[in-house]
Amino acid sequence: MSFGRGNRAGFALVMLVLLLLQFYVRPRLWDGRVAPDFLIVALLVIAMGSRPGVGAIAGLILGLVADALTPARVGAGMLAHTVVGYLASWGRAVFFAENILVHAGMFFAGVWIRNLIVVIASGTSGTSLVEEMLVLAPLQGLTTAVAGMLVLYVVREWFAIRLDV
Amino acid sequence: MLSASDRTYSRRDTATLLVCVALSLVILLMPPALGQGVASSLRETVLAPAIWLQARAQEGRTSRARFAAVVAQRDSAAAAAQFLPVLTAENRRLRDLVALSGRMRLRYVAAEVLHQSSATDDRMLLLDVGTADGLRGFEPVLAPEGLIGVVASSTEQTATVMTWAHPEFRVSAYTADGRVFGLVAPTSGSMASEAALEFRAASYRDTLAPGTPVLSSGLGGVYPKGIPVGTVVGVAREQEGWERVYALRPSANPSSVAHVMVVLERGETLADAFPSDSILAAVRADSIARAALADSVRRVAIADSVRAVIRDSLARLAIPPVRPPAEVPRGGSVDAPRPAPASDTATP
Repeated sequence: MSFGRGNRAGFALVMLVLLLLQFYVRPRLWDGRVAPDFLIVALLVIAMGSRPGVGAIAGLILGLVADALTPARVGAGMLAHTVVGYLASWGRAVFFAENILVHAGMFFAGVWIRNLIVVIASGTSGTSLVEEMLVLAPLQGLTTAVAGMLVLYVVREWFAIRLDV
Repeated sequence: MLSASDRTYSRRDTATLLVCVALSLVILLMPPALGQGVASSLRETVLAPAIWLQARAQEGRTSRARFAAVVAQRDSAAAAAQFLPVLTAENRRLRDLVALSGRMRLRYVAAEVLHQSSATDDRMLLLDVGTADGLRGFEPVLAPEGLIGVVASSTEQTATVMTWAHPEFRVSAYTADGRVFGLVAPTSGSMASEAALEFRAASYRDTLAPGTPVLSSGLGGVYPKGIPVGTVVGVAREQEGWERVYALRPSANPSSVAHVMVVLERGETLADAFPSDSILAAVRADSIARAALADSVRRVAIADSVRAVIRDSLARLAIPPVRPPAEVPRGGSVDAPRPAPASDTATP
């Protein structure tokens, strides 16, 4: 997957749709702690088609957005999204994953790692941390993975994504 | 084997990652006020369209529910009005009574909560009101069930709320019967989905029964007096001979609340605005006790007055004491009995 001149407009359109899903559709339909996070879907879509450095920068920017909206600890989201963006881009370059389950696993792991870093950097500990990591983050990872796979399925032609079973 | 350009790109990627991580750490470790400033300025500028969009979505979501509720109320009222107009009027009156906004004596602004899909969403809430609506900072935020938190920072159109689930949240509180004062803080290490509160600094000799309502005391000047904070569940822990810490079930849940009220005025009580069932029960119990006491006093007073009336009546009807007949002198007469003095027969 690459974002050449031909599909830049398509890429911008996908990002716009993901922002609409995050800020307009999700609050109307399903507003909860385990609701799918379309910001991280956007980050992983960017990271999967870019170099790790670009993934890290995209993570930094989207993390800043997340921190501005829930400023429990400004900077925690930036750090988390930076790491996830870099790892997603690096991991895809290393594993050459074109399998549908590997893609879903990347979405799941991205949400889980992001939430882990955010809650630790925000000073959460004890049973709350355990519950977040074992219950809430996996559930949100699952919903985000489903949403991410739907997004990839829709845009697979534009970005030349193979979703082998 | 990597080519020279690949190695250059790889080094550049690593350097980019390090710069981004360093930037994140700098912002993470800088004073919270600076971080809040950065977040506020972002919300005011580049994120303003996103927040506007989410506010509209929230309105759309809640307006559907409000519309359904209004339709249901209208249908119920229409059905009842056909048969029981008096009951309908009373129903409307009661509905007005339970409306919190109608009971608020202090100036407030209503706000919608813009929930985020973040792990820390229940600690800090984003509201769609700001300085343009009169917010200045440190205003209490209320739900119909009780206290949600306090405004931590505000911009022109948005505000962030530190909820009671935030580790730094504190509120001075007292029990509804006024016996025990203490400090309410979030429970450390509780489950995130079951975040709870603690009522601290309650002296060891004071025991609180489960179900006792705990209200804000008004001390400190931030929270008005009388806002429900929670209900005593039991003893969380205790230091022998020194203090007991009670576990509280919070009155309001920040993660599920959709609408809140931000109180703009300070320094007065809001006790009348929150007649929850438990508080009403306590007030009713207190009223019943006071009424019983007053009734007893009244009965004693009535008994006293009745006794006085009977005594006076008897005194009025009393036959004067008959003097032993004196020896009648020969050729003399016996004096007729004299009437009792006027002061003895006078009724009070």
